[in-house]
Parts: sequence; C-alpha cells; structure tokens
Amino acid sequence: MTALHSLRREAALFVRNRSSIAALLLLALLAGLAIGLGHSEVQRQLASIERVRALDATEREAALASAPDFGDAAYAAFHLTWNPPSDLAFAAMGQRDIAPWMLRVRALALEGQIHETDSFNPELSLTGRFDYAFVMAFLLPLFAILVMYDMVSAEREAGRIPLLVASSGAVHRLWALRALVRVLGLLLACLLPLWLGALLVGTSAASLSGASVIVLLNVLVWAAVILVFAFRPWSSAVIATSLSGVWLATALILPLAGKVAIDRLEPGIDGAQIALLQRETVNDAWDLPKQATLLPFFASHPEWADTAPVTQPFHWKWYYAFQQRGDEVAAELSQAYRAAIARRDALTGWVAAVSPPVAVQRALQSLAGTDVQASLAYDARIRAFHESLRRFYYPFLFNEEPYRLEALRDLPQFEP
Amino acid sequence: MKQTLRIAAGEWTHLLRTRLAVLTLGLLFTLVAIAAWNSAEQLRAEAAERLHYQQQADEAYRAQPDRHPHRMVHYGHYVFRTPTPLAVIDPGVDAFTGRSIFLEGHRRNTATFSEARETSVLTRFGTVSPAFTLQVLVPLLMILIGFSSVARERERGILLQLLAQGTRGRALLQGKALALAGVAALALLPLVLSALWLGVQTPAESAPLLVLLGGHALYLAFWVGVIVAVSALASQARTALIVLIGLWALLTVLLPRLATDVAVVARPAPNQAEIDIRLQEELRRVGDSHNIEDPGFRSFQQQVLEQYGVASIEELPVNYRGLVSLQGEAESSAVMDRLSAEQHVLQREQAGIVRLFALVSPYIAARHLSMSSAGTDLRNHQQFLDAAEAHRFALIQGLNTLHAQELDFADDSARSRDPLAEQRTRISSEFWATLQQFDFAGAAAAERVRTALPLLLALLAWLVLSALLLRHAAGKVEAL
Repeated sequence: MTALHSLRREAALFVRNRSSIAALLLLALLAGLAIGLGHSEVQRQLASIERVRALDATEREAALASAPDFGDAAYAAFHLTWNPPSDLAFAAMGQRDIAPWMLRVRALALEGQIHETDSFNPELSLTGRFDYAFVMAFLLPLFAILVMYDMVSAEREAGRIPLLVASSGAVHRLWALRALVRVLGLLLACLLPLWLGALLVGTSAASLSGASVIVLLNVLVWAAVILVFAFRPWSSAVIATSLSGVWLATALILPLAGKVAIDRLEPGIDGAQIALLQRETVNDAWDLPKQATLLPFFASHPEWADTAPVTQPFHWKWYYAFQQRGDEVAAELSQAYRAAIARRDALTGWVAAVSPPVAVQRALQSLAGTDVQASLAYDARIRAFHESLRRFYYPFLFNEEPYRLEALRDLPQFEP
Repeated sequence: MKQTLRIAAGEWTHLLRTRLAVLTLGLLFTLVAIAAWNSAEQLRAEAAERLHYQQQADEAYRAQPDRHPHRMVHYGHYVFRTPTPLAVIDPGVDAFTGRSIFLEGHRRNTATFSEARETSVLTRFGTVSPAFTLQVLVPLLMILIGFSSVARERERGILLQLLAQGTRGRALLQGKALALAGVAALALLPLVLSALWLGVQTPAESAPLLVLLGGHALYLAFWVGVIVAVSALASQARTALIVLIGLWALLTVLLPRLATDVAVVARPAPNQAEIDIRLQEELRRVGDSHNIEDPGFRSFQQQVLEQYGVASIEELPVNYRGLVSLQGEAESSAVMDRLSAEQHVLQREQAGIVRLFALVSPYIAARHLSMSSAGTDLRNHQQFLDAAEAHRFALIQGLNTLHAQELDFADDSARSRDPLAEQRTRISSEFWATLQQFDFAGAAAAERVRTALPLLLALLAWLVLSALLLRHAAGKVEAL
C-alpha cells in the first residue's frame, strides 16, 4: 500500500464525516465573508481618499486665490495627506479604525495638528472589524479543535484501537495520515478564500505568499497543540475541556494580562503634555520681544538670519518663526511620546511569543501595513511633508515677496 | 424542592472533587477579582491625572498676562474628560475616545489622544474590567464547569438510575441549574461588593448600579439555563461541550463583529477630512470675522448702524471689530453645530444598528446595557463633546464681548502697525481670572437607566427563552 493510496483512503474517510466537513465549510464561509467585508471596506476607503483629494484640491485653490499675501496663503491652505490601504489591507484592517489615514495639515505648528483624530465611531472601534485576521486569530483555533480533538480518543472510546492496529500494522503512520488530512482540510478552508480575495484585488505575490506562510504556521501551531492533547489517554470530554482552556488562555487571558503588564512597564506619555507645551510656546511669543523668537529660530535656520528685521507688532515672518519654535520646543517630548508607543509595541512582541492569536494578528497587520509601526511611519511622512511645506514658504515670507499666485504652482505635493 | 437542593449539593460536591473544575472555579474568581482591582486602580490614577491636567490648564489660563482679548480667543483652553464613577465596572468606549479637547475660537476641535492609539494591538482583545470578564470570560468558564453536569450522568448510566429511583427530570435539571447558578453568583460577588461600595460613596448612582447588576445577573442566568439544557439534550458530554463553545463563540465573538460591519455598510460615515472641507466651504460663506470689510458681514454692518442710529462704524459707542467677532463666532458655531449634530446622529444610528443585534445575541444586550448604565457609551461621549462645545462657545463669546466693550476701535484697527496702539489694546489680566470651571458630570442617572431599560427587557426575554429550553430538556429527560 503506497503512502498516497493510504492518504486518499484517509481523506475519503474524513470526507464521509459530515460534521467535520460542515465545520470546514463553515470556516471557509466565514473566512470568505471576512475577505468580502474587508474588500468592500478597502474599496470604500480608496473611494473616500479619491473624493477627498479632489475636494481638497478645489478647496486649496479657492483659499490660495483669495489670499492677499504669502503669509495668509500659508495660513489658509490645507494640504491633504493620506495613507492608502495596501494590497493586503483587506485581510487585516488593524489600526485603520482607530488611527487616522487622512489628515489635512498646513504650514502652522505641526504639533497642534498632527494629533487630530478622525471621527471614528468609538462603539464600533470597541468591537473591531470582522476581518480575515480576526477569523485566523480567534475562530481558526476553535475550528481546528473541533475537527481534531477526538481523532484518537473517539477510536478508543468506540473500542476500535485493536482493530486499527491489526489492520494497518504501523498505527503511528495512520495517526500521521489522519492528522495530515485534517491539517490539509483546515489549510484549504483558510487559504482558498484568501487567494480568491487576493486575485480580486491583485495582491502582490510577495504579500500573498507572506500571508499564506503566516496562515500555514498558525494552522501548524494549533495542530501541534491539539495533537499533544489528543494523544493523552484522556476521555474526549476532558481533552476538549483542556483545549478550550488553552484557547481561552492564549486568546483572551494572556493578551489581557500582557496589556496590564505593558501598561505598568511602559506607562507612556500623556499626549496632552505635548499639546500644552506647544501651545504655551506659540502663545507666549505674542508677549515676548520679537528677538526672543527670532534668535532661536535663526539658530536652527541660519539662512534667514540676514533678512530685514521685524519692526511692526505683527509680521508674518515672525509669526511662522514662532510656529516653528512651538514645534522645536515640543520636539523632545513628542519624540519621547512616539518612542513610548514604539516600545509598547515592541513589548507586545513578547506577548505574541506566548499567544498565537496575538502573533497572527501582529504578523498579518504588519504585512498589510495596518499595524502600529505603519501608523508611526505615516506620522513620519506627514512630518516630512510638513517640513517641505514650511520650507517652501520661507523664501517668500522672509524675503517679503509680493503675492504671486503662479509661484504656488510648485507647492510640495504629498506622496503617500 | 428538597430533591432540587439535594441534587445541587451533589453537583457541588462533585465539582469540588474534580481537579479541573476547582482549577476553573479558582481561575474564574481570580479573574473577576483582578479585573475589579485593576480597573479601580487604573481609574483612580487616571482621574487624578486628568484633574491635575485640568487644574494646570485652568491655572495657565488665569495666569496669562495683559492681552488683547482676541489673543486669548486663539490661546484657547483645554478641557479634560474625567471618568464617570461607574467606569470602574465598565470603561466602555473610554479607551477609544480622545481624553482632551482644545477649545479655541473659530474651530470646534475633536477630542485628541485616545488610549487605543497609544497602546498596542492588545487593547483590541478586550478590557480588563469586571464587565468584560462577566460578559465574555465567565460564560465560557461556566460552560467548562457545567457542560457535563447532566451529560456525564447519562454517559455513566446514572441518569436512568436516578429516574428509576424517583428523581423527577425537572428537579434534576433545576438542581443542576441551581449548582451552576452558585458558580455564577460567585463570579458576580466582586461586582456586588464593588457596587455596594460605589452605591455608598455615590448614592445618586444607585439606580444605574441596580440595572447594571440586574442585567448581568439575568445574562448569567441565561447561560445557566442554556448550559444545563444543552447538557441534558446532548447524547454525549463532548457534544454538549462543542455545541456550547460554538454557541458562545457565535454570540460573544462572531455576531458583535458582524454587527459592526453591518452598521458600517448600512450607514457609511464620512471621514473627518471630508467634513472639515465641507465646513470650510460653508464657513467661507459666513466670512472671515478677522476682516471687518469681509462681504459676509456687509448686511450685519448695516444692521448695527441702524440699531445704534449712527452713520459710520467709527461713531459706534462700542468697538465694531468686537461686534464682528461676536457675530462671526455665532454664525460659524451654528454651522459647526449643525455638521457635528449630523455626524452624531449618524454615529448613533450606527450604534442603534449594533444595539438591534441584542435580539440575536444576549451578549450584545448585556454589553450595551452595561455601557449605557455606566455612562461610558457613545451617547455619553457625544454629550461630553457637546458640553465642551457649549463651554467653548461661552468662553469665546465672553472674550469677544470684552473685545467689543473694553477696546477702542481706532486703537484696535491700528494695532498691527502702531506699537503704542497695540499696547492700549491689551486689557487687564484680571479678566482671565473669571474663567468658568468645566464640569461634565455625564448623563443623569435617570436618563442612563431609561436607555438601558429596553436592553434589560431584551435580557429578560433571553432568560425566558433559556428557561423554556430548560423545560423542554426536562421533558426529554423524563421521557427517557
């Protein structure tokens, strides 16, 4: 009897087991539903970005056209930045329902703008989305337990073990084949919907194979855990209870314990401090001598130090200098704030090491560019764009050039 | 009755003899207790921190030097949301909403700095709170403890023996249910204790606390009935376990997520950027109140001149620039209020769709009952935003009134060019000391109870359903 032949026989046996097949079909259906919902969400986000980009361009033109000078133009003109969903975002929405993926900025102090939140519905964020990553992290283990937990104990309880030993000779090979058939079934149920979705979106081969490997590892890890219990000489009920306990511990209790531990290890920085500091600096400038703002500004921007001095109570060059000073003074705190978020994220990696559901979510979100790192990267892109924007205006403001609308044709364009 | 008690006592003796059951019981009690402790401690720290920031912001505002009042309009003010007392039991959406708002002239800002963005992906796995443990973890642990209560007797052949000896099927299931209800009561104990503590400290919260407790009791009672009924109906213990875990996953894990997606698809919401652009368009029609010549204020100027019976704005007894600021803020606030009200209604409709899922998932009923009565739901957050906006509007218009009454029009017009005029437009810092305290106490207890009542009824209906299932199962057992 060849190995392939035995595999086919086991597969045929498995297919006749109606409840297992129903479970796998249900799993495939849920995965497919999640892919479908994720896909429609991504389409909605893309359409929204397109729509807002057009609105933003019109609005900016109107603002620039009615501005009397460059200072006013920089004040009135907003620029849209956006973080488009990747070709794998449909599978893992991640942070995209709590962290903004569109933000409008202007050449004023950035720390007063970059922390704006989007108008997400908090009752919806609380639950999170029904995405593929959720199905893989939470539901797949339950389905895997369902189709594998009594692989051995059911035979024992039915008194068929001696028969199996007699008929197959090498009973280990038989168990291996049975496990293999079940693992293959689970993999098909998980991967087919993913591949179909990827085909629909045109996901790159690299992302798709990465996601497939994550799914494969997830299935294998759970299969290994389940087999450790399935081969114990316990009753089916005890095995099922223990496995449910393992699931409960890894999917809920460890992540929550990890959260409590991380909150204590890395308390983080209250963002309100950054906002307060930035605003104090910007507003104090109005009551300070002009030089108190301009000297430190010229220290970091020496190229403008030799331009005409400010003599009036109000001048745009002074105005934009103190905006920048606000950011400079808050820079250290702001950096520390982001560093704390990154450190918390790194600590989460340790929780992922002991909790497959956390690991799966993190891995898929990281690949899909929807994790904490990705939102920090978007933050960095906004900062870089803002820098180019204010530096674009400086020559006009500091050389006190008369307003020319044509000069604004070369305004920096945001590149996502 | 005697039979029922005897069976319940027997079940407890069995549980205490089983290592796995004792382990699960211990875990259950520890979890609820840790959640209650952690949540109380975290909330205390947070409340202290926000109070500190609020005081810091208040002091900073009051300490501002002599200034042009419009400078104060742009200086603005910060308000912080302090947690409601019952957030100890259910923090609800608190982790997902911004904790502070910057109040300034011309703009209605959103709340910034939400905890969810600052913490890792783990926030999405649940909250360490009594509500989450009771709604999600405790039913699962009760399943692990109770799935075999009747099925075990059947597998060992004891069930027929018991029936032959005259035990009534109904009494048997009632006894098993009573035993499991004891487990549920044990899990509820920390909540009852903290509710008593909170009730004594804040008597006004008694009614919502009662609803909160009652809702969770009904919810756990639902699970007691379902677990025992399924255990009695299943031919094997493992079948009972699989069915119950499947049901739990469906009701508490799968349906809530589906509800979210249904709400988003049924009522898609625009992004803030889109709303802001729409707002900016409408505000341009209102006009720029920094510029008194703006065409948007031409008819207003006419109206003011007629009202005071003078020919030019220079002859007005008040500073016309301040009047324009008042008018501009009033008009732009009206536009902003309208747009944000639209947004609030849309979000409440989304939340309403999710709440409808209470009809297919008792977990959703319990969760929303809990958030509503604790005052940590979407509605409460919106009320916080509206209260902050009312505070902002009063603050800004107070400053604009000073702008109109305390400043000389000629000085005010010349202040950007003339340093002496600029000096004269600075008014005394004593005005800043009149800053009003921002108090947001959250929705009134009666209103919260009213929102939660339909959900309490839904949970009652779920309990009736579970009792009917139990009766049906008792009939089946008796027919053996």
